[in-house]
Amino acid sequence: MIAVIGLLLGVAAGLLLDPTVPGWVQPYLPIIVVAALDAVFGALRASLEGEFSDRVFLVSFVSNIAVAAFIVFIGDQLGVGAQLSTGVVVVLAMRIFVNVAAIRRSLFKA
Amino acid sequence: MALALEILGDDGDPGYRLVGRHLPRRPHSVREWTSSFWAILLIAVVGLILGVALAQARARAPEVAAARAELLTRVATLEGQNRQLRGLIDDERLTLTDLQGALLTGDAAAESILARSTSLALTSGYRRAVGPGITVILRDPPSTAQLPPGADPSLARVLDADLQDVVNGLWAAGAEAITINTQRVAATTAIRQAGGAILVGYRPVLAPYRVRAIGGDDLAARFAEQPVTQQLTALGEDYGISVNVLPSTFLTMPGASVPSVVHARLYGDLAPAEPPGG
Repeated sequence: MIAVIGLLLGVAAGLLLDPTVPGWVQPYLPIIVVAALDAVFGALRASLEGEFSDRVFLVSFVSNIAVAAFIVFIGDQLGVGAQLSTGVVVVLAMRIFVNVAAIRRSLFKA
Repeated sequence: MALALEILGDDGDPGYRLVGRHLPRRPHSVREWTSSFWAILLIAVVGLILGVALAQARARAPEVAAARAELLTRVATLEGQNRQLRGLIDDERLTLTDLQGALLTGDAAAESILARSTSLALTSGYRRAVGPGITVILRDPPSTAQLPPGADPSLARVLDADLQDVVNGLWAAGAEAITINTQRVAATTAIRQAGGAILVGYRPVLAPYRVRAIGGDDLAARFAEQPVTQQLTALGEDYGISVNVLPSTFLTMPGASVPSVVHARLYGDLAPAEPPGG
């Protein structure tokens, strides 16, 4: 419950403050969003299964974002940024689906 | 393979399991308070990222629309310029033929060559053409049209092959110059499908397709004798493609873009050819 309020607060702050994103970050924004979502769903699943740990959440969140951004950066330098972005999004989206399926099983037993 | 299995595996992040197993739970301790503080802070950061991404997408929408509108106007301007230049080419070709005629009068052999060149200029689409003829209008069936059982819905529209058949039928019926919409069809003009569009001479034409042909007042009667007419009737019955043939008393057609000659040389011209670009 508190987590949902925190999430909503963050969204509201992002929308209202409308911070200017520096140009060099913009290509990474979609990847960062997907990586962050992956970390959140992983944490939600862990908390439902009684295994949540703030430390793992923090580390998985930061490392997800860093690795995703780094892969896209390397891809941009090599001229295959679009393909690697797709790869990152596919892998993270699959993880999100797996985690959501586990959350669904925990919540609805189905 | 191991990587794919790990992604598809149902284990979640193994980190949680490891830590969950090894850390003893201490209820109501300071650790729990700091733990939930960090978790909420992180969640708020995630929310912030989502919010920023959302704001970015909303801020960029009008930008994208503006860029699109600008591109559209540029395309329209350049198309206008292109049309103008094509008109200019047609004018120049006319002048060129006039000059040739003025130079070659009085020489019987040269005049017969000139006459041949003039008749070729029509079928090759080298010059503008005017005259009476017919207009064949092909319309795609309405999307609500009921197809007879067994008909493939993806074929229920005018295809490049249909236009090719109509054009060949018109040539066979004695047409001397043909356009599809505004594109002149010459001897070497390709009519083909590219994705959803039909290209005539590598330029897209859109439905309804108006195939105009210059060929005299009796062209309609001669076209009606061509086998393609039965084919068109069948298209109408099977797929609901409507075909109308109308007489046109006066048609004006632009010249076609004539491909430049790359390899062929005139017989008797013995000068060694320069390799292209060199």
